Amino acid sequence: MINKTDGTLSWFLQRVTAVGLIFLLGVHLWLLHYKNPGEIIKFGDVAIRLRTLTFFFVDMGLLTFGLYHALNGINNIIQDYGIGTTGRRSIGFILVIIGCVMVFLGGVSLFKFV
Amino acid sequence: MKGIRTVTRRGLSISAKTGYIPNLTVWKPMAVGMWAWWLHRITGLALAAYLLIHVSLMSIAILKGPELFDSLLSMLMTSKLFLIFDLGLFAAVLIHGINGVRLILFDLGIGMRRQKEIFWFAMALVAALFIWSFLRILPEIVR
Repeated sequence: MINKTDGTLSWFLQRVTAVGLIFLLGVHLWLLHYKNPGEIIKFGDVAIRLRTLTFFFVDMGLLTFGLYHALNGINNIIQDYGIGTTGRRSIGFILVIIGCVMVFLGGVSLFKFV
Repeated sequence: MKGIRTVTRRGLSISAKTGYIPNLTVWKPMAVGMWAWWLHRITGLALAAYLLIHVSLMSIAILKGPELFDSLLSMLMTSKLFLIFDLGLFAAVLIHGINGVRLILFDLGIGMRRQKEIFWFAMALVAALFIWSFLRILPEIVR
């Protein structure tokens, strides 16, 4: 079963965020890069898009799922190099801080349009 | 355990008891699974680094106001170098994403006996989607 201490929770969340990101990144890349290639994104267009609840949740999902998946992935790679318990905890703590700062920064900028 | 000595050299564990010492001077072609593993790691690290830069840059540009945001986006999206970089980024997303689907299928117990075939099918899908994106962006690069 899923357990927080033996790593199965982080494994499970890595898969859940991966599936979410396939959909969310697909929407993001299609709309902003490939639907109208050559179109320069303007602040006003972003504001209109983010006032729609769906797109607000798409971007919030991208921010949180993307950061969790990326930082947990980095953590998994570092763990593969056999560091001790103290090192593991320190790196985990640093990655959590980076994640919180980035979610705050991205969240504040997204809420600016609400 | 007595009699077992583990020596770690560049992440390789060598057990003295088994007598197994990899000969690092002989080139052996990597198995398909190893290529997939390396590709997934390298693209994952590249995408993670890009995500941190992207979130920081876009957030600061939004918070600073419309003038900075518009001038930054205009500079980036008209730069041929950035468009080429963007294609490279899309290639990394495709490789990591489609190989990730392959890994999830294995976690669910699907396709374990056809790992090689699924890897090559995934890479063919990556190539097809990349060619599509390349042809879509190409007019902007050569303009």
